[in-house]
This record gives sequence, C-alpha cells and structure tokens, in this order.
Amino acid sequence: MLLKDNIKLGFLSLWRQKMRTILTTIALGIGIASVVIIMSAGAGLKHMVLSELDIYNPNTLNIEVRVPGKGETGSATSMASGVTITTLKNSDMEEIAKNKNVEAVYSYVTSQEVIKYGSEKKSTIIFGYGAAAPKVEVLEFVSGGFYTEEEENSLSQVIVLGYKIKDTLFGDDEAVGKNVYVGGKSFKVVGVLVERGASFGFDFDSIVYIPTRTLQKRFLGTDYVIGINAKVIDINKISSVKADIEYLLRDRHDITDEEKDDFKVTSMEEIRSTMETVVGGITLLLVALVCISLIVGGVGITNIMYVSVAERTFEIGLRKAVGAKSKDILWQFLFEAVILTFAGGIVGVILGIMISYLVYYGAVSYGLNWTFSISIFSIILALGFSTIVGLFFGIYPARKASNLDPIEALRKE
Amino acid sequence: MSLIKIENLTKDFVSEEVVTKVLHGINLEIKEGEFVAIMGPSGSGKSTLMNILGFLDKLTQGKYFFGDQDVSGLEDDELAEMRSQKIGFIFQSFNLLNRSTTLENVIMPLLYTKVSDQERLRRAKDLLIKVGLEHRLDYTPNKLSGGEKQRVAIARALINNPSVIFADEPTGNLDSKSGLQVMKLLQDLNEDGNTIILVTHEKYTADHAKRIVKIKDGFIVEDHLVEKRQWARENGELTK
Repeated sequence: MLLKDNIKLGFLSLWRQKMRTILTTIALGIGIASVVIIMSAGAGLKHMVLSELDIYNPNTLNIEVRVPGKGETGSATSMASGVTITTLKNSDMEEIAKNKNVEAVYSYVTSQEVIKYGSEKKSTIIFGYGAAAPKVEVLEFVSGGFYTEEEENSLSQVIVLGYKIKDTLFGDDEAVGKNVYVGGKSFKVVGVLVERGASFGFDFDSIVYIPTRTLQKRFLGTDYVIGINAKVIDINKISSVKADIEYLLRDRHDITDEEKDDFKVTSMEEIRSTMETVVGGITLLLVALVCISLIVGGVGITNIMYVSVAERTFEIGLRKAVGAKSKDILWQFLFEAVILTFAGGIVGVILGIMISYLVYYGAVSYGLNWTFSISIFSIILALGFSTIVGLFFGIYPARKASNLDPIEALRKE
Repeated sequence: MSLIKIENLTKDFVSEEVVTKVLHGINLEIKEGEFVAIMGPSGSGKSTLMNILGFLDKLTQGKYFFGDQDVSGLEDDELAEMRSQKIGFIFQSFNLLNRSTTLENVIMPLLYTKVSDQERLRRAKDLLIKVGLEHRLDYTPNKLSGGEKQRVAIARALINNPSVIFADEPTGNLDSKSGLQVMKLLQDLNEDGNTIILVTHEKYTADHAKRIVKIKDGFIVEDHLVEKRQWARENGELTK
C-alpha cells in the first residue's frame, strides 16, 4: 500500500469519527502544551535568576562566614541557627587587598534600623558596605554617587538609598544632600540607586547602604563582618586567587583542618553555574512530570485505538479479504494513531506558545525580569514526543488488527 | 486448460485439542469460463471449500493448483497477494464499508495494488456504469437498496480484473426481483468469459449455473452439468 493512500485513509477515518478525534487531540494537546509551557517557563526562570547575578561581576570572589564543619552554608545558616561567627574582620579584608591579583575589595555587615525623614519612617535592612563596593559590583545611581574611602575611614554618617526607600521617604523630591535619621542618628544622603529589582527574594530596592565601619562603630559596637567581596584583575587567575585567600584566611584564623574553615570562598562563576544547574534541574523535573501525563495520554491513545480496532474488525476482515496484507493493516492503524498524536502535538504547540506568552505577560506585569522564549528544540521535542507516543502506543492495537484472521473478522459485521 | 485443480484436499480445524475434519480428500477441476455452483446444506463444508479456493484459508493436506502454479503451501502474505490479483468476492451480506461512498467501496481493493489513481477511478466508474449505478457514486451504503448494495459489491469484485469470481449466497439477503438482477449480472459476466463459482444451498439459484457440484459431510457427492439451465431475464423474478 502506498504512503499517500495510507495517509489519505488515516485522515478519512479520523474525519469520519470527528468527536473521538477532537477529544483525543485535545487531551494529548494539553499534555504537549504542558511540555512547551514548562520549557518556556524554565527558560524564563533561568533568565530571571541569572539576570539577578548580573549585578555581580563574573570575576568576583565572595567570602562569607561559615559555621565550621557544617557543610557548605554560610551566613544565612549561622544567623538562623543563632551562632554568630565573629572571626572575619576588616583586617582580613585589608590583607586580601594586598594580593596583587585583587583589583578591589570590600567587606559587608548587616543590621536593621528605623529610617526616618520628616514624618515618613520605615524599618529597613541596613547594609554596611565598604566604600570600594562600586569597584567590585555594578552600582548605578539615579542621582549622587557612592561614599568615598575617606568618608568611610572617618566614620562619616553618609547613606546611599535604595530606589524604593527613597520613594517612600522623599517621593519625587530630590534626596541627595538631605539628612535622614537612621536609628536616631543623622545621616547625609549622598546617592540614590537605580531600581535593581529583587534577587533571590531579597529586595535590593528596599535597603540602604552606609559605610561598613560606620555601621560597626555607631550601631553594632563590633568589629567583625559577615562577608567580603573581592574583584580579581584577571578572571583566568580566579581559582589561584581563591586558593590564596583560603590559605591566607586559614593562616590568620589558625585553621589547620579544611573541615573547620569558618569561612567559605565562592566565585560568581561557581554560583552562576550552580544556579544554572538548579534551574536546569527544576525544569527537567517538571518536564519529567509532564512526560508522565503524556504517558497517561498515550495509554489513552492505546485504549482508543483498541476500541477502534474492535469496532472495525469487520472492516479489517474485508480489507484483508480483498487483498490487504497484514502490514497494510498495521500501517493503516499506525498511521491513524500517528496522525492523531501529531495533530495533538500541533494543537499542543500552539496552545503552549499562547499560554507561555500569557505566563510571560503575567510575570512581567508582576515585575519579574522574565523573558518570552520558545526554543525550536522544545517544539521539535513536543512534536517528536507526540509522534513517538503515537507509534509506541499505537503499535499494539495496530498489530492486533493486522493479525486478525479475515474469515473470523468478516463474521463480526 | 484448468484454472483450478485440487487433489485429495483435506481441511481439519483444530480447537482446544479437538480436531474437526471438515473436508475429506476432495478432487475438483474447474476450467476457465465455467460457471460452477457449489451446493450443500449448512455444515457440509462448502464455505470452507470456497475459503480455501478463494485463498482466505489454508488447506491441511492435498494439492491446489491455480493455473499452472502450485499454491498448496502459500503463506499469509502470498495468499493476500493472490486475493488481490486473482480473486473477486461477492458475499451474502454485501460487506460494504458503511462510512465509505459507493465509489470508495469499489476502489478499495485497488488500494492494495500499484494501479494508478486515474486508472482506479476510470475502472470504478466503468464498472458502476456496467452494474447500472453511475447515479449513486457518492451514496453511502445506508442510502442504497439491498439490490443496489449487491451490485456495488459486484463492481468491487470486478475492479481487479479477477481470474475467478466467488459469490457466496449472493442472493440470500435479497428479494426475488433484486436476486434475479444479480443472477443476470453473474450470467452476463460469465457470458463475457469470466469464471464464476457460486456457493448456494438453493437449487433454483444453482440452476442458473452451468455445472453443479454437491458437497455433503465433506465429500463431493454429485458433480454434473445443469440439465435445465435457468436464464435470468430482465424484469423477471427469481422463481423459487
């Protein structure tokens, strides 16, 4: 039997059972749409997560305090577990700065205070940020700029406002040059940051920055920091600089056993690749879950094809009686299944693209840094998968049909 | 020369270890251009014989020659090929595809041949003119009368220019008038040189053939020419 006759016959047969065809196509289409949506959402999520890392230079090393012997986690865990690691100091930072491969370095520490301007006030997270921060990470200003080394060293009461804090306190008025009260102390606003958005649930626009030393001396009364960020001159040397810093800090903190490190050095590249792995893993997991729904859909196809074979036993017998070979019947039913699932694939891709666009639209109106992307790969995957589902789940009923005995089958009218 | 020749043909059906012998060593020769009626009561084995002769079933023992070819041991696909190339079937219950049109039903056997689309259409239309249904091309079987259905089935049986036409109780589901029309068509086809094997249990139908072979309990009990042949006439009725 010729290919074109098979295709024609397949379409004709599906056309003559419209309701069954439509329902099956929709069922499979939804499964296929889920694949497309999840792959598109995965790409959007990846873009969102990775773009949050864009504020860091890739050639940045992050040194955070770590509870010794407690795995990979840093400051967040130590804070949550109530353990405060106090061994990381500004003097460590100064030693790191002496490394000839380090271009710039700053330390940071956090606190929470009420910030007040006129009658407006707001409780906010305060970051003590070293004055060298703009040399290490990307900081852009709506107006003004960052405070200087001199201001930090003289423990000046200067402050840089996040976008939303400035908006809350000043509205549309100019903030630079004005004084705000932080925990009752007067601070001069030197700069307002551009909108940075949220990163890993942390709203960068709702925080304020004051010099690390000012925060330590005026509020905390301590001399330790929770982290240090260093920018490496040559990104190719980042691993050796990382090793240098680890060696230096172990020496300074009298640590002989790596397990007992009270700090952890991570490069931005590592974080980025970890994030990519995590997002990729999540996407893969979701795709795997969706594939289960496709398998369920596939079993549905098998069921429908079995019913179809049973309903058309007589037709099969007749076709065989007038000269159809077993393989002609096999192909006829296989083509029907594949046309059916391929149609489901096309419906699914169209539906998937439409819903992915809605997801993108929703995410963007929610303020997320999302992208709308449909990869050719996901379309090929969806169509390919649906066709394979058709072949795989269509073959058993088709084989059953092809093995029918014509005399027996003709009795089934 | 003989078109069909069988020697000592037997057929056993085996089910659940029980062997049922249906045909016990049948010898039969049918020449090109014959019109043979195979008669016998139900259970006599006449349908089984027709199924084997028509390549729908395999024989158990014996020899079957079709033309000069020994077809005794053909496999399923080879049998299908023989049905496709050499055989036309007409069934008691018409066996048309209910969702397909007259034209599609007639063309259907050619889907399994290499005949081109134009040739398929040309042959089908010619045959439907021959059976007087050129005005019913787009009808589905449920809009046709019994006689019309059987005439579609006859056109379908002829579409592959078969060497032999098997008609299994072709008038069994028809009123006497339509039945006569079908018998007339078969006689006309035979006059045109077609070999026809008619399976029936009715004497008055069998009398339209040239030769009668009677089967009983798996044996041929009679084999003779029809003495007073009936001729189906236009507008007549099949007299019982």
